[in-house]
Amino acid sequence: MIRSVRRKSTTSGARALTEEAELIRRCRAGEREAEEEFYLRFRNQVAANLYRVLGSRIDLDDLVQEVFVIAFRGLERFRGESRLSTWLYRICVNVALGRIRQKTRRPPPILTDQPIADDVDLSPPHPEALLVQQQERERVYRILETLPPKKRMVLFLHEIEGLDLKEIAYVLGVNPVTVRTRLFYARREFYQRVAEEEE
Amino acid sequence: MRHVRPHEWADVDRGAVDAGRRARMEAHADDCDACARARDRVRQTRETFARIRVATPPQLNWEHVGARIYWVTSSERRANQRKPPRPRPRAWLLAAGAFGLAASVGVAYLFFTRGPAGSSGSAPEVAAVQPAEPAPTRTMSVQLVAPPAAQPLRGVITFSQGAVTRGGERLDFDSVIAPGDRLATGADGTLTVQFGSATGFTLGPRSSIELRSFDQRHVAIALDGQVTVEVEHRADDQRFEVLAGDAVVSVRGTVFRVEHRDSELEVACARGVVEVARGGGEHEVAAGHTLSLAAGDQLAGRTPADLTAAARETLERNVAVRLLPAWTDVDGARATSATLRLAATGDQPIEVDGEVVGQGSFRARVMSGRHHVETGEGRGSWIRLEPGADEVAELAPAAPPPSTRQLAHKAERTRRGQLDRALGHGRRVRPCLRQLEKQGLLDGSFVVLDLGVNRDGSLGYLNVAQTNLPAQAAACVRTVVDAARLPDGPSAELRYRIAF
Repeated sequence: MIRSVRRKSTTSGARALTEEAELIRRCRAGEREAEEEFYLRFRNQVAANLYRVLGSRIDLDDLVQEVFVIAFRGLERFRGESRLSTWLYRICVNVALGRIRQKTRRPPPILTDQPIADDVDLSPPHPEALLVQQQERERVYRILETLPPKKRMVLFLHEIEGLDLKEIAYVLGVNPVTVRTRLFYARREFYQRVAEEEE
Repeated sequence: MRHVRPHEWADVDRGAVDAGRRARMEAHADDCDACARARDRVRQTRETFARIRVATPPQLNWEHVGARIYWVTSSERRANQRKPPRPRPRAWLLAAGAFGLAASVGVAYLFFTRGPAGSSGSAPEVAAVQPAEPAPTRTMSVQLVAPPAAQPLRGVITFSQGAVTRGGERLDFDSVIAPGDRLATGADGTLTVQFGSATGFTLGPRSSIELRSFDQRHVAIALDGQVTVEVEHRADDQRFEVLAGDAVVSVRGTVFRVEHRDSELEVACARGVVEVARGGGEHEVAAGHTLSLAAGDQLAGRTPADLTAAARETLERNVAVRLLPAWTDVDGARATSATLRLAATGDQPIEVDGEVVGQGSFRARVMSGRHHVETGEGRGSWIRLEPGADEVAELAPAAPPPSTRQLAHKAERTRRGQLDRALGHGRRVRPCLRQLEKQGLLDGSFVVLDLGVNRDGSLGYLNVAQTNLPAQAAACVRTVVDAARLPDGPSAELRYRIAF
């Protein structure tokens, strides 16, 4: 996500930054239209971020709400050191981390009609391949869930989101050295479990 | 060469291993089944990572989520705006404190240098430090100040339906409710009055009350009919009472309902505890209980009955959903709120921002801002209200029951046809059954699915209701159906059967 933002050309990037600054200013002034624009602009991105981290749509609307409420509360303190999308991404990750920690303290719910893979695209569809993909996805999230929350998040940000150590450190608000250590153990642990898991 | 650790295959995959090392690892895997299996698993996992990276999120009910966000943030903002600024220490208070401190030091100095009263000024220093006698008791006169009179309360109407009167006259929605008011409702009437933060009451149909006492220390409501009360936790010296005939129901911080008609009394408590006093006896009714007394019944020996979960929930929400979320005083509430006039035919519940506020035709007070208004069928619209506005919210006309059934039937047919086409009339699920087909076991197989289709074409739920297929094949069919994309259209619930 962060990298895709960086690929934009300088001109369009500058224009986008100006627009963002204006949007932030209007939101801070309490303009409802600005808040709506903010929500419309970022809602899909926020939902996608949360969905990728958690791999489930359970309570996704609650989490999206939480992210935006935190964002609106925190806009006063947003100093513009990063893009708005990056800052929101950081909030998403922390909200998701909170959810993961909460889940580790509670027994998992029994789900019958809320499959994880509801986003698979059927064009052209091959049901068997689709089923395999869904099972694979469920397997990956199942193994991710066995990792402690901090390791899980570092691994997710590095292996799935493709962030480097500094970016992960920024998103999680920790030292890059800590990220490196966590990542080392997380990768070793995760892939070991991938290899050991029964078919 | 030693076995390759699984995470090293991931390093190979992302190009972090040089060609020589990679060749050695591959060579090792050629001879080592465990390492080859680990390699395949890791690669498969990384392919899944790539798919997760581009996964599209499910569509949410964006309008509802947006409304909830707006509700939270706007309520917080208003609460912050109303919060009184922290009092700064005043200069004269500081000066008085400094003067008091200086005076104390002076008195102490005189006491220790001159000794206690009666001792000689030339006494040795040690005697001054340890006086032989205690200092004499001094009498001070203190003028007692009478406590300030309790401020009378005022209330604002937040919900009104049907015939509602005050002192026999029709009650205007913008009226302020004050001590001594006599309020009454007709057979179709309901009235909610808020007079504090999360504090108010709802007067049910064919009911009347008199606000005999209505101030910050004591609220006493004389009741004939039904009233539901929600009271935020109050201070120790504050009392809230409902006078129901010869019974008194008193409370501190709770949600409860009192019904008193023809000398019969029923008290139901959803939260907290209420105390019922009658004829010298007293009885507590705890949360989740109800107590009924017929005319002449004594309290002694009565046991409150359990309140059903549904009744308790209804009771809890009865007042709460109709109160303004932020409160300072009546003027503040009126200045920042707006009035909505809503009407739906039949018994259709009307929701404001996702909460059922009432049925039929009524007026409700809401915070100014953007609100989503809809009927029970989920057809709604957004409305923006300026402070002090009085607007009619447009609701899609509700169809009478027979038409509703027809609409539902039509929606079901439409969606069934769309689903048929999306599944290629069953062709797209055929690959799920290839094994069965090869074994000649396909004839007579079927799957019955229960599914709900949202207006945006997504599936709200999807369950396999009945099937004679093996579990894996049924799961495969379900996955195919779940992935089917339908166009925007009516929401529908249907039972869908696929037979082979």
